[in-house]
Amino acid sequence: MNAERILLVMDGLDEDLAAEVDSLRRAAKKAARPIPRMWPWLSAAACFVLIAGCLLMIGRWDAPSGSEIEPTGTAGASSTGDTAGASGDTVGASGDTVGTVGDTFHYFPEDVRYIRDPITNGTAPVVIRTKAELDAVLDPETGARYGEAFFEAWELVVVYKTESSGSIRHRVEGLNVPTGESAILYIDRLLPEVGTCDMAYWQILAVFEKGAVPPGAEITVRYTDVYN
Amino acid sequence: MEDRDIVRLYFDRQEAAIVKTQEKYHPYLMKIAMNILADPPDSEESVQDTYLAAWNSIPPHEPAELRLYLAKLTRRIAISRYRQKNAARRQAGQYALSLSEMENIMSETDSPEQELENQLLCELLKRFLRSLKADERRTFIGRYYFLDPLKDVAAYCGMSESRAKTLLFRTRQKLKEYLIKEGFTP
Repeated sequence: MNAERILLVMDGLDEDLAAEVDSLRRAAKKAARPIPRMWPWLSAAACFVLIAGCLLMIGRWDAPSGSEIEPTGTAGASSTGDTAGASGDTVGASGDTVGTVGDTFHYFPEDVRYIRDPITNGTAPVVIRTKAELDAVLDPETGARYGEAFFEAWELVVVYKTESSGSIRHRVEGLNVPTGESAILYIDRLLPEVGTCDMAYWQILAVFEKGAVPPGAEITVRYTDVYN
Repeated sequence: MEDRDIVRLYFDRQEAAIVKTQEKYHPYLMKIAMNILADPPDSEESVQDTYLAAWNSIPPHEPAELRLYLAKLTRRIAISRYRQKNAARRQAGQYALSLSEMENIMSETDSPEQELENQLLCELLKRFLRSLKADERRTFIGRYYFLDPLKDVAAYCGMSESRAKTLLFRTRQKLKEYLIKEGFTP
């Protein structure tokens, strides 16, 4: 029997069976806030500090005073490592950063449109949460598909990017919200081996679930160069 | 806007029905199409075809769950597009081209026996799925109906990826045995 045939006849699946799984998918999407990778390390560090503090308090820390420098030195070394990583991340100017990105995101885009030579142009990334905001930012043709019902469930992050070659394409990877005041949008720049010599202006429209970007949060876009 | 209001717009033959459907469900349908096609332009076209299919089929059809009905249409259209695309890739010469054209004619006019067999297979599949434990059924439908990546299926079914993989493997084996028992040859 053709394997494809099984997938095709699954089309006739009863609605209650599909609904059971669909409700799980929706619930999972709402709860999908993966734990950042550094959290286990932070927890371990916090536990270590707590235990060390307790030992000091109850007077069982009987090591000579010289060795007390050791933990502080270790902390210093790790902090230096962090700083080096951070400075390595920031390369571009005016808020654009280039660097290596982890694969854990708080939100993944539901839908993305990449529009070349858009009718309207801008510089800073914008979050659109209402139809009125949309009309102020996007041209009517581009914004036609986003109405009031759309903004009941989703929000739109609009990013503008100028490229030195029209052969460079983009891929929105995800959104991280480290604090309530900032959000970082990760975009891959897909660089071909050989490219055309023409400037390209891009408008990238990424759909995220409503509430993904906290109100008033500053959005930073981090670009990662990916060589094809 | 509630789903029943959108369905009402379809029944009233108002074009706003498509606009409202697009506003509410475009990202959801794009995800389903992307799971199948993995290509944004093709997925976009499939979703646009879904709106047209919904317009043409409501009425007479009145979906109880508009979201699931649209998901089913998108799935069907995207799979069909996937098959066409792959057939086009295989068309190296004129012989393959002619064969593919003949296949298209054949698939459009499935013989009554084939139709009947498909219906029977569908019924068996439904019965089989209902006989499974909840976690087996959910992983199977998530993977083979919604065509979600294994990682996502494991996440929303609340299990590890390796557990989901094992569960799917065993369910596939069970299905094979079940179909053989019912007279279908693998």
